Order: sequence, then C-alpha cells, then structure tokens
Amino acid sequence: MKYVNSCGLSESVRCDLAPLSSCCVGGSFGLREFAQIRYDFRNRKNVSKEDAEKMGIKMKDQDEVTLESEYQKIEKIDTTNWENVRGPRPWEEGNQLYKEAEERAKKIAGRD
Amino acid sequence: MPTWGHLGLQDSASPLMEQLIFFHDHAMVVLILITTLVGYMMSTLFFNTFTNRFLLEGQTIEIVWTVLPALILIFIALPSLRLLYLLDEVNNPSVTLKTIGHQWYWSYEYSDFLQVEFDSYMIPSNELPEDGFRLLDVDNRTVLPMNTQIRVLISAADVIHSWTVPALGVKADAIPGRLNQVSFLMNRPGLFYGQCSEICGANHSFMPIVIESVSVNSFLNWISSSSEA
Repeated sequence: MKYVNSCGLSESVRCDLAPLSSCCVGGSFGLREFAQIRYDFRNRKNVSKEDAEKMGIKMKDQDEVTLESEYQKIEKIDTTNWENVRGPRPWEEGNQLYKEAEERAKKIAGRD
Repeated sequence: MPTWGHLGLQDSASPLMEQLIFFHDHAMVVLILITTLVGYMMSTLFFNTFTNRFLLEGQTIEIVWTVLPALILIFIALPSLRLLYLLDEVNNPSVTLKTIGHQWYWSYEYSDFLQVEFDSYMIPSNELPEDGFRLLDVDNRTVLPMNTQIRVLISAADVIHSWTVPALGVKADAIPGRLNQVSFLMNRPGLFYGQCSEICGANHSFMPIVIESVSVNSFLNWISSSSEA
C-alpha cells in the first residue's frame, strides 16, 4: 500500500522527485543570479575617442559607424563580375597566384 | 589552440564561449546518463530468464517512459534557451571591425578609424618559419583590444565564405550583398585562430583567420603605426 501524506503526494514523489526536479530547474535559475554578477561587474574597458586622440589617432564618433552606413559601403562592392580562377593548390608551382604568395612571404621575412 | 589528438572544444577566450562550454558539458552529462541507463537495461534483459507469455499492457510503465523523456528534454531545453537569449543580448561595442571574404583571403577594415585596412593571406607552408603553425598563420594578424566589446561585420565580395574563431564562440557566414554581425569580448590576451567555414573554391582550406588580443594601449599604438603606414 502506498503511503500518501496530507498533500496527496506519495512518499517517492515528495522525497525523491520533487526535490530533484526543483534543484535541477531552480538551480539553473538560481545560478543565473551568480553568473549575472560576472556580467554586471565586468572588467570592461572602452576604446573611447578621447583615449585615441591622446595618442594622436583620429577616431570616428560611435554614431557615425552604424550597420546602415557600413551596409551602404558594401553595397558598392561589385559581387557579380569576379573571375573564377582555378586556384593553385599550395603545393603546385609555376603559377601566378603561387608566385604572389611567395612574394608576400618574402616581404614578411624582410619585415621580421 | 587545437593540438594533435584534440577531442573537445578549445579553451574559451570569451565569456559567451565559457557558457557554451558549460552547456555542452551539461548536455553531455545528460546523454551519458541516458546511455548508461539504457545500456544497463538492455544488458540485464539479455541475461535474464523472465518469461511472461500473457503480457498485454502496462499502463504505469507507459506513463513513466513518456513523462521521463519529456522531463529530460526540459532539463536540456531550459539552459539552452537561456544561453540562446544571452548570445543575442544587446551591448554597446566600442570597436567595429569589418571583414570581407575574398577568394582566398580576408580583408579587414577598422571602421572606427581612418584608413586602417589590410588583407590577410595565409603564409604558404614552404615559407613558414620553424615555429609557425601550418595552414593557420597569416601575414597580417587582426589586432583587437581585450576586455572591450567588439563588433565584427562580415560580408563577402565573390562567393559565400564563413568567418569563425572557435575560441571566441563566433561564426557567421560571409554572404555577398549581405552584412552579418557578431559580437564578442576577449577576456585574455593571446592569439586565436580560425579557418574559413564555407566551401568557397580550391583554396577554401587555405584562408585562415588570426586574432591577436592585446591591451587597449597596445591596440591604439598598433592603430597609430598602421594608419601612418
């Protein structure tokens, strides 16, 4: 015969299932509060216009750089007329793209 | 940084990637529990000698094995949805980087500053120094400040590419005629590597991404030297 207490719940639900599910579900919400502290008091820095100007760098205003303004710039890129090159595999020699890669590598070696 | 024989996710360099790793570990625990339970039940069934030729129905067990999977799915779904909305939270980025995918290199432009743009090609293997990373190192790294909210606007000039840095937990397709946005914050200095993640031609595997995370002062010094150059 199953034991049913005054709440109408059996012992197994009251002692096993209810604490387990409340810990698992409630714990996720409870831990969120602790995780939120990390986001509220983050060691976050800003690269501001004033900092940049102290170093002699011209920086645009935050309002000037928006998704819309950048989208207008990329709209001007011609994406329909591009040359589909049968690109060189890096191990292939004797083709133009590979020669350009070699020259770039020499520039890096010279820079280092 | 991935190494040989690397099985799991890369170490995180961003709080969001940390949360993604925690969720991955949580879901993995649930899956291992289910697999162990089902494997145990199957193996005991294999070796027992119980026989009931007149078994027709079992209402209680039917209810148990319907409700239990639903509960398990709830335990997976709640943290998943929490993280989904966390990833989409609005923040105020202080640095904007625009990256355009080409065949087969990335070009970067620092939209907040004047005339800071460059192309980033992979260093070919036979030109790589002894301590270089094969197929990952590039000639010009993308320098960004740490502990600063950064926004990356991603597009392409020819075919579809995909810009990703696993350590930061970001990936977005670079689609011609479209601008996608990702946002992240790096909480430690270092080099973070990624590779193009959308097939874009013969050299799709040879156009990597390298982010160099530095202090704000070092970043501004680099910007100053880049705009002079």
